[in-house]
Amino acid sequence: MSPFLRYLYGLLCTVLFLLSISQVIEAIHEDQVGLNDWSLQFIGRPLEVLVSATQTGSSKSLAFIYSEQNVLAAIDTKHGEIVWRHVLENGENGTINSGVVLEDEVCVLLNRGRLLRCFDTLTGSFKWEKLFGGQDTHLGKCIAVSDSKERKAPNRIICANDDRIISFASRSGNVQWESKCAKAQKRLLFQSLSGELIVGGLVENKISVKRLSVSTGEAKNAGVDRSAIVHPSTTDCRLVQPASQVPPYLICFDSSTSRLFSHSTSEVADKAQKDLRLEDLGGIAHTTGDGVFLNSFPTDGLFSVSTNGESLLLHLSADGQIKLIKKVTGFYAGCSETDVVIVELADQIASVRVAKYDGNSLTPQAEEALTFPFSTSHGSLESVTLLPSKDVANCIRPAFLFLTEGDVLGLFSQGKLAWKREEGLARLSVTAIVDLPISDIEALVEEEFEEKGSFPVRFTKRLVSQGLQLKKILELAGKRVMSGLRIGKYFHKEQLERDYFNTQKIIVSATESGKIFGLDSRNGDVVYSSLLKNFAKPKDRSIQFYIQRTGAHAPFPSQSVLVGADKRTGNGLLYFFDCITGEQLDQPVTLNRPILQSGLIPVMSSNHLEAIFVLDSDLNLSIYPENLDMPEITAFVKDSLHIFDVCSKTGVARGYRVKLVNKAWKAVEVWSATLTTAGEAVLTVSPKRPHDFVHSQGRVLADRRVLYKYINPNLVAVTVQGTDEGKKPYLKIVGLDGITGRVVFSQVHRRARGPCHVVHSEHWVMYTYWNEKVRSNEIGVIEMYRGFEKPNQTYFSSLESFEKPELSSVAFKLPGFISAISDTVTVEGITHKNLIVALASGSVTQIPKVLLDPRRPMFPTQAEREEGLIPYAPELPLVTENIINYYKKVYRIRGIKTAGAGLESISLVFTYGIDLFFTRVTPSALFDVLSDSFDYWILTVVMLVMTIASVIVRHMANTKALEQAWK
Amino acid sequence: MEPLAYLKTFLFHAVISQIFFAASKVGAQRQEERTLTIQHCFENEPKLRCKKVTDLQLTSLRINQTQIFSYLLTNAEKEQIQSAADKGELYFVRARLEGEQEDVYMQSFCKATDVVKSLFVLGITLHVDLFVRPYAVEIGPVAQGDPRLELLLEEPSDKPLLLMGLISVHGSQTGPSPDLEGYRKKLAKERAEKMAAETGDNRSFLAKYWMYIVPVVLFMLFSGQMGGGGAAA
Repeated sequence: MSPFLRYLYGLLCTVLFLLSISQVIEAIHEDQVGLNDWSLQFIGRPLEVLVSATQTGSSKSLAFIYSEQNVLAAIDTKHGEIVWRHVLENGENGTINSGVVLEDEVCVLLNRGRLLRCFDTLTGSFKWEKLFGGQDTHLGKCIAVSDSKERKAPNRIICANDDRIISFASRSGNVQWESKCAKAQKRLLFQSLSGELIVGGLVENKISVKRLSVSTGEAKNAGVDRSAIVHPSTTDCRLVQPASQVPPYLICFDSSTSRLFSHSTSEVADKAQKDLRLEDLGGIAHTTGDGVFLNSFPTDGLFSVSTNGESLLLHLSADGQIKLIKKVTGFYAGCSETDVVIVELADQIASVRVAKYDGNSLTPQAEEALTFPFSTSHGSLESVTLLPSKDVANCIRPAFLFLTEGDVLGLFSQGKLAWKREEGLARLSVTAIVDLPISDIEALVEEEFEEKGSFPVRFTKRLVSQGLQLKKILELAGKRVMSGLRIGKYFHKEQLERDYFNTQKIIVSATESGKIFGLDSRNGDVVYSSLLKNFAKPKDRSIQFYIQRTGAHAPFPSQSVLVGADKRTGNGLLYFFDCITGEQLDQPVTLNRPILQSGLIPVMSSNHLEAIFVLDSDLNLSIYPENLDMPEITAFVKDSLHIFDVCSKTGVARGYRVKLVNKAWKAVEVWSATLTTAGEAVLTVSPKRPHDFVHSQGRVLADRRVLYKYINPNLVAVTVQGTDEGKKPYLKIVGLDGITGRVVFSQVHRRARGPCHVVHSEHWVMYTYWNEKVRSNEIGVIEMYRGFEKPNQTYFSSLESFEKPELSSVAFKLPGFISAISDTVTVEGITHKNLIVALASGSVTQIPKVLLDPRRPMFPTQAEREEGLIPYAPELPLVTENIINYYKKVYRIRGIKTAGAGLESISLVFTYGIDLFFTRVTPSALFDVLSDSFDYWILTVVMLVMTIASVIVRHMANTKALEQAWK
Repeated sequence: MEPLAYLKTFLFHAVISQIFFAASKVGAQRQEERTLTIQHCFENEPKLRCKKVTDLQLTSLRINQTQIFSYLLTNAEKEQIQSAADKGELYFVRARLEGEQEDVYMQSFCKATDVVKSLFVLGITLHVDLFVRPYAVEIGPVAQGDPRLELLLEEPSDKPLLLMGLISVHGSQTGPSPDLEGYRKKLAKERAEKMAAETGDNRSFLAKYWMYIVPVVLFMLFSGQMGGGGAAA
């Protein structure tokens, strides 16, 4: 062998060896975990933050939080990560009324104030629970106390509900004493500085106060009843002690009347009883129903009232007089017996100051305040919880957890913002998956090939465009080098741009409280968030979200609109914004009346914008943007626009068409149906998607005949639940034509009830319900067919079609509790459909639509087998391989949003509830692209080997030919 | 009488009385004397002007049956319908249950031309729920060959001022439930077939496997003969 060949052989062997090693390394990784999916865990809107003053035995500093969504979680205060989390029972059984934290356990009062459940603070493992009596009350209260003054750490939990007070020993949960008391609609429980237990009770127009011994539960006085105009459900109280020798006062605030009350806890006649209006004290403009936070301080007589982002620091004197010390836009927190932490907000900056209180005024301890950025999307500050520290200088550089109006939970520590969590993401109510705009270079390429103008014009245009492209490429390269030098990543993608297969999108979501989020679909990062002022969910309706222009029409910005209600008046409110950047595009529009219905007008203007119509409660129709005066829109509204509305309260469905009356659009009722009667309620209203792609117009049967589908784009499925004379529930599903009000189908399931989830697409409706008779979840399927005759028209018109479809229906048992359900969507609708089902167990699974075919025969014939019909089985299998979130459980899923990608085979799935989960599914497998498992290495190696082999063979052939020539 | 017999008699009477009580309740509800008023309306901006056409007793409604009514149109009404048909306007039918609120009714529409084309014969469909309570009304043209036309007392014509109506009552279908019984039967049938296949073959071992045994025996015989022949040679 020649030296060259030997060298080549050695090189080849080395390459093959290296390649084989790299293959081994790749095989170590778990297959595709997190490659195209992500999930995020949240707690929900925090109700209270609990911190232990004496936390031991852990390297982590933990804060315990319970939320509106019935979640209890421990958060690592260093990084803001969830250490453990318990998603408690749904509904009232899991609603947390109160929580306490002790040395090594955290306990919550659940189940209408009747169940105390305790968990280990470090691991979150369940320790003990005690169920005690009491009537239905949501207003129970627990406190952690120590039975002796010497002992600092609390060692017993005292809980009170409407008619009893019980003391439990920590760790064991043994009942130490139990005391009955007069019934109250709201129970108050405090421990005074002298160690006594102060028990308060609120009933309509009466406050009762009693003092008890902590160790025995014996009453120390007979109890005092005082009359006061209070509403228990809207009143909150705190215990404030003006001085060490003076009996403490109960300070109560009734948010329904905006009044502040002070009541002495002593049994002597309360001459100092005060009843003040909040406005009189400091001029805080409080609107009824807004959240009001009362906060008591370790400093004698100090307390604060906060509402609408403003706080009043107030002082209660020994004679019961209340005076204002200071008003601030922010929050006050008591740090020590003399120091008060003031967090003040101004110009998107939060300033933290510590001030000393000398009995009359506050004196700042340092000239310069510590600051941290506080975005407007956070809203106002709602609460501040100081973290305990052994450091004496804790009050100079305080660490605190803060909660804002925009559901942001953050930690300020070491003089800076350590972390923040967007807990509003656990409350999403409406979402959309939006295409990203194409890159600048691609936009220029598209412009280059526009066939407009003469040849010289087009040629010049092309040259200019190519020049601009070159400029852009150089700019981009420059940017990448700069960003590479700055952050070390040369290919860091700063701008949100569409990828080649259009799989990367932006997820635009909004909460019912008016917070908008833009999430990057690659990793779930929050691209933007903004809190809309005075925006709320309309009464009896949900928020609506419309995309008026996607990002595909550069240079025009993408535009979308959020339709809701004004928090103050309940009238309609429209908010226009760019859904790629989150920027507000126009001034919000406030209507004069509540909104009845809204929708997109499918007529595109010259600047690629689709207008929306808004129908108010007085049946006036408006079109937005108002300046979009196009004859095509006018013609569409006049001739083609039909509106339907189902009032969930009355159960009346109405259909309207639009007329021009006195130069204004007015909706005129054309049909009406009363879907409910007494004892019935509308559960769901499910129209079809506006752009629902249909796979095919018919089904080819084994005998080569075509069974044509009944595809009515105006069909609306309404589910109604009621009870019969024997108090047995029943479920009714009605298919209505939204334009004519004709009943297309109507089915009744006896002894069935909700929750009901409906998927409506193509020619089928699927709905889930609970069958009380067999106590299982079932899924019903209705398919509609026109028959074997080919329809003459290529379109469907509700006004011209009087035919009733042939129904084919079936039901299956579903082994699992369903939280949400949806179907996959692809770009052209050619791919088969799968159902995406979120289960209460935390799994998200997909069920092929073919399993839900009503034509599945019990005993399939040869022809049916040829057609591909699967034999009928009454139960749908939930195959573990079909669980798309594998071990990443997601809980309390409220909705599933699906969208198509650039590839026909891919459907993007976004589930939202307390947790978020995003992934991509391929219902008919990845047929239009090489799969991820395709072995590129083998292909490369084969190519390489073939190339080398051809070089070697050529060399050998040349040598042989030369040798032969010499012979 | 034995105590057990007493108990049996008592239970029997209790069950019977409960059944009669429930039946009387259902009957009372079903025979509730409520009237359904059918009105027809003409497009009159922005509110509709409606006029009573006929009354129906809820007790008279029978699912999948058709009732007829006739109404003598005034000249003005007939002109209104004709005019609406010329203008391409709509014709409305409204059904209102006695005792309901003013804004609670069922309403449907069709093109006025359809009424004229069908010679003033209205095809009205009344959708009723489980308790035969109407929840939706539909109006549509009656095709020439519709068998319901035979119910009419007079031949349809556009000459007289007579509006005739065919009111059909449609009920809700009972929703499907998982066919557990059928599936159980299918499984039992399959099991029985399997058992039959296993137990049905009562042939002897030789009768069953002769096709394998014979070639082996033949092969052994021939191979033995060939070996013997060689040795003899």
